[in-house]
Amino acid sequence: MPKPPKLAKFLLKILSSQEKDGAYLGDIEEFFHNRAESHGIWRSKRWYWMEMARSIPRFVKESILWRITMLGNYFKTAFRNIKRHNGYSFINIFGLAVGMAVFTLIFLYIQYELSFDRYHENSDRIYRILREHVDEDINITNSNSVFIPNTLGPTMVEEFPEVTSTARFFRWHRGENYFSLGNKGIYEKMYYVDPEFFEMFSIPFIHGNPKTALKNPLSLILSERLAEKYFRNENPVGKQMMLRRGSRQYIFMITGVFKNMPDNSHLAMDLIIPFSNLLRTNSRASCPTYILTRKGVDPKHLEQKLKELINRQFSSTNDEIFITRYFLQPLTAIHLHSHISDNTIYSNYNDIRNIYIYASIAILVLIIVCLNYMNLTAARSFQRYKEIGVRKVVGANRMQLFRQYLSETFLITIISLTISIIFVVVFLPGFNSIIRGNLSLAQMQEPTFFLVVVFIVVFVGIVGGSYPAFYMSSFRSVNIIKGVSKKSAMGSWVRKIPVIAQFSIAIMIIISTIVIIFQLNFINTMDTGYNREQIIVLSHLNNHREIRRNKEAIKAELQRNPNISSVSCSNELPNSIIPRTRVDLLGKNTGQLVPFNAYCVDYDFVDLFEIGIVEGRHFSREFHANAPNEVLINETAARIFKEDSPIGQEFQFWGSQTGKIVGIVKDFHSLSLHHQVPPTFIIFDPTYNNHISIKINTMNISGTIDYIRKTMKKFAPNYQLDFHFFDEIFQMDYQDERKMETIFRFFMLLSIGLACMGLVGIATYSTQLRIKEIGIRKVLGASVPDITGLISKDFIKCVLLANIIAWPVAYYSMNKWLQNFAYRINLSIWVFILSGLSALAVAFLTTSYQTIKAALANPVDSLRYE
Amino acid sequence: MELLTKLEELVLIAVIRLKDKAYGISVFNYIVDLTGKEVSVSSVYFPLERLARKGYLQTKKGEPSPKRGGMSKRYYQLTKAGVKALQENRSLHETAWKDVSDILKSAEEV
Repeated sequence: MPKPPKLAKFLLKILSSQEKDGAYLGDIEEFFHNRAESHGIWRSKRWYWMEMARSIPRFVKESILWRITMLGNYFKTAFRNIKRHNGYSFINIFGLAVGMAVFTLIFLYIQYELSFDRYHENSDRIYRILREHVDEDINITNSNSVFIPNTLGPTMVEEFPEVTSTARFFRWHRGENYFSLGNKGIYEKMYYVDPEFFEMFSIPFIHGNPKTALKNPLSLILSERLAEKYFRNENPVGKQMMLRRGSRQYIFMITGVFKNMPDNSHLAMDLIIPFSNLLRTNSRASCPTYILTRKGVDPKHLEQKLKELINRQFSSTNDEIFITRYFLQPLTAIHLHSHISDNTIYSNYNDIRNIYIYASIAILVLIIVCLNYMNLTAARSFQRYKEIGVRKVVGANRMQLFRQYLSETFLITIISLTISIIFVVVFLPGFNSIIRGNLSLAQMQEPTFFLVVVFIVVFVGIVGGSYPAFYMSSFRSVNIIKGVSKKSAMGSWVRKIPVIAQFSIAIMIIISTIVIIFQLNFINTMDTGYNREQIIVLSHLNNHREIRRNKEAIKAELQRNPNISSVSCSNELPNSIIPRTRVDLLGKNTGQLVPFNAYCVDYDFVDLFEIGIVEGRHFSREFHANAPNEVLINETAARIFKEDSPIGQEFQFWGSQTGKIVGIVKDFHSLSLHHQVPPTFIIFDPTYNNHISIKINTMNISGTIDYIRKTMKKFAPNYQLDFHFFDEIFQMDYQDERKMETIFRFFMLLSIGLACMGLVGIATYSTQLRIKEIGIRKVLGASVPDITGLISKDFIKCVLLANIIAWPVAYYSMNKWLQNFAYRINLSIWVFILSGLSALAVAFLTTSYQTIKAALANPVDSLRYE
Repeated sequence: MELLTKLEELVLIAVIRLKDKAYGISVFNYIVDLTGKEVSVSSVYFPLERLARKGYLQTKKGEPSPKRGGMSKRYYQLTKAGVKALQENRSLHETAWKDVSDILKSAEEV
């Protein structure tokens, strides 16, 4: 049986509520069913609605109609106003649209950042096991590590009924491995992964069976991306790939192709082989481990059990200097809530604090545009005195006027919103390229986006619209008709509050921008302690026996070129993130092991990268013959020895090796400048030679590169020249910082622009309020500078007050932000003064422009109607 | 005596004719059939209610049915006052119309 429309029935019930027995309602419904049989369900539904409307008492109907008519009139007036004052309207609508677009873009970005790893079906039940070192000797921030003993995961599955499965993966540092594919040689990052991985995470396969793909130890699976890259449209399953490690070769069979791991995932694997391969060569490897729990398991409880398990089985003597704690990190917290010291596996971590910063920028921008709107509209209000007066005279009450101006704001908000969405669509690709992200317009079709749009409209409409509406509806009609603007003490304060708020926010933004730009600049230009210019680096040499054997010959051959000044081999570059080595300071810190970064280099490394020597000497060919275990340490390491001169001291590392300190080098920043320089030692060990660094001069660079290529070809015909300028490699590590910086700069400058636009509005407003006063003063003989000074005085007071509000807030938040950096600028008072002054300057310039314009104008124009 | 409107008069006549089956819909249908005009249900209801308030009609609660959304019918019956009012109106009507047909006819010829 068809049902009458619910809403209409509900309304009808209300309308006929004075009827106790509901016979009317019943009649209508019976009628509805009769009609449904004869006229069809849709027409009878429409009929039901019509009946509902007809039952509305006349006076209610009239008043609704009247409201709609008035609303139509309000919109008509609003449109006329927009058209007549198109300059103002443009600033208003454009400003609002830009603000809304910024808000929307940031919202999309935040939504994207929050969406990381949430697409897995089991995302709420997957945890990553983290190990935290509490290191009392040296204060290292970000001390969590994803590398945990590889047996821990399987043990947990065995011991705890709450844990259903575990998956581990591993990648060698930097991870590129050399494969040959037919007669082609390729470098790809290779991951060792447990087969359970694909049961735990939702990563569908295109070819092959996820259950069996990693069964055989010599199987290999590829991502869609790699399959396309190397096999075009062919199905690669069944094909072979040969892995070369040193002198050994392994033939892998491709058994599957999986869909690319999405961008919003902390996992980005392209080439996978079974985890068992790792255990065969390195049974004690530590690796990232994930567990899947049963439904409804409390992670806190599980963590407690884990702690007991660790105490029973995994307390290793090696870690005694640390207090080690294991804990479970929810999968969805990985991207934003990790404090990982070695980001070798995944480097794209973001920080929830950045998200907060973005969110506050978004809200701030929205507030700024609201204030702009508020001030501009209030500024324009005197042009509408007459309109308000006439409306009042013909009987408009205050509520109606309030409603009129509020609805006008909503109209403008909706127009701006439409434009802002166009902005978003147009600028999204550009924004994507700034943030190197992959936001898509599809996000705009989700219900959350609709909520945001509603939020924007309501927020801007109410925040931006209520003040002018309140302000304009409060005019006294007598004064309006007389042409007197209201000037009570209260009124002027009410008027000044948004002005002061606007200035405060502008000053806060200017201060923050200056501090952030200075700090990031400071970090970028800070001496990293090594030279980065004119150095060519050849990488991935470990896999080439020919190169290792002929290293000295290659070096000699390269140095024969007059444009090459020196050549050095090393295991790592000065900016590499290196797994730490524990060092025993032999008697100094009895029994304690201190984590050090270790570099294995040959003679010319220190010279080539221009790492300064503070004390002692560096490796030299004369001395080395007698003392093969010479090491250099950096200043930070020297401080650990707690002696005047550690030169000549010995220490032990890598189990049994001893090193004798011959020199102290200046601290150089291997980690980003968020972090302290770690204690480091450099050992002379010419057997490591993953990189060859070549210092060249600027003459004939392409010729030099050609020469390098020919030389390498001569000694190692198999080697595909993989060279970069060291400067490029360095910049790559700072890509994320750059990205952050660009986004900050972009939004900060934008918000300063918007804030200034508002200041111009206020200045115009307050000058025009006093236009008659200016006219009278001029008639009575005041000079232009007198008048300018007088008007500006008012403004200066506002700006000073705004400074007093803005400074503490800006100081507090910027101080907090700077705590993130190990090396930071001082918050100088000058930044604050400068920001205050620049706000003042903007205010002063615009007011004086307006005042001078008013003062130069013929007073007759402004006083004609007095 | 009280004057009834045309619609009130028609409604009262409908209630008499429908005897014990006079409720909202049947009255409405009768009037629609009679006049050939599609009027809204509420436009029949207002006079029904008014007449009931004046005491010309008395109401009786009927049986509910699922077709009516579980609501009961309200049957109407003429009271003595209602009958009287109708009769008075009818005689008034007839008095007023007496001889008018001749005048109408001559007016048509003009």
